[in-house]
Amino acid sequence: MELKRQLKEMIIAELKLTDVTPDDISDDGPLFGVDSALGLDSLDAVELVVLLQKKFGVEVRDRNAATAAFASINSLAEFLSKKNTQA
Amino acid sequence: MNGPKKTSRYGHRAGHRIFRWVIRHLGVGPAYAVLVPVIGYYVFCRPSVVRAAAPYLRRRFPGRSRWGRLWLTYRHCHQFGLCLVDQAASGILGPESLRIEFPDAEVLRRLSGENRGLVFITSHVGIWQQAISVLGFMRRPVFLHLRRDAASESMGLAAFGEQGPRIVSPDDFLGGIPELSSALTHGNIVAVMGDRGFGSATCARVGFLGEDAPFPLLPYHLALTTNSDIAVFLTSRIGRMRIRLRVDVIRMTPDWRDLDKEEARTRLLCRYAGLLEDHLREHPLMWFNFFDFWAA
Repeated sequence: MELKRQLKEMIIAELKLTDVTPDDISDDGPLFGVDSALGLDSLDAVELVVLLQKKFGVEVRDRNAATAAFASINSLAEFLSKKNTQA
Repeated sequence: MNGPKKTSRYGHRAGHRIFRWVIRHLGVGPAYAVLVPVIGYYVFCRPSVVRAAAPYLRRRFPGRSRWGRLWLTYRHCHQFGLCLVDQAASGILGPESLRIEFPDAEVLRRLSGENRGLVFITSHVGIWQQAISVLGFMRRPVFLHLRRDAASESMGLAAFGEQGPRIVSPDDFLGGIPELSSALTHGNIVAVMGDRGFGSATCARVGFLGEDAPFPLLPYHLALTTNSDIAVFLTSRIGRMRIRLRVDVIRMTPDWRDLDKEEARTRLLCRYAGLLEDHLREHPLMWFNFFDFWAA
């Protein structure tokens, strides 16, 4: 499955988002905040950090990594791809 | 969540410099003496100070007359001033000048030997900044959720050695929360405030001194999601340059993890609010959240 689709499905399932389908999530829209279609908040960021660690073995250790990874689905997919290439 | 308005308007830079000079050249006792008229001025000549202290004092000491409450405000602000003088003195004269009684030290030592995360919850009680210094002895990396400009020498950060604690600012992207989460998954210690949320922190309202009040959910959400223990830290000033620390540990047992996360979070928060309330029954003039915490 395409990574972006996989990420969307994971976010919906693990963060228990209702009334949202993967197609509702744009690739370049913000994941967090009031401008986000998902409406994720900072507490959801805790879940995402742990999920990425468990499911992809990738760590978001500092603010630079968080800024790079959590801007959008595109940036998250790019972050994971880069990390996997480095590994 | 709305926090207090900037408190720096109380006591300008020159005032701070005078206190520091007095502590350095004359000692702590004279600084306490200078405090008496200064607090008197703020309490009796600045209505905004009385207003800032009123929400807590009204709930903690219901039924007091106007004059009774004014006297309480003076004593409350005086206690705050004494804590600030002691804190400044420990920065100027060295951390050894502050005597710390910590009967529960062994509890923290035992926790430091375990390779799991620890959410260390502090509150605006007593000289809470100094409580953080005991984390320097835990031989594990410590992450402080704190605005960078708030970290100062008087916080006892010297106890952390050359490397110091890592300051994670709530002003960072997503409030610095990704970094805190990652730290906990590596078995590190994260210190966060339990009685004040930063910026748009997600809060829940639970009973506190007879009325529902909004507390940040972050500490409990971090602990539940990263399977970390919780240590609630409360301090009190018990005399001249003397503080006592108390720690209550909540182990993250399967019982907590088996609960629905929202329910577990609320129960943990209620436990914290109960501990804080008990502490304030014992040390009623030691809570220094000078704003309407209940309405925030």
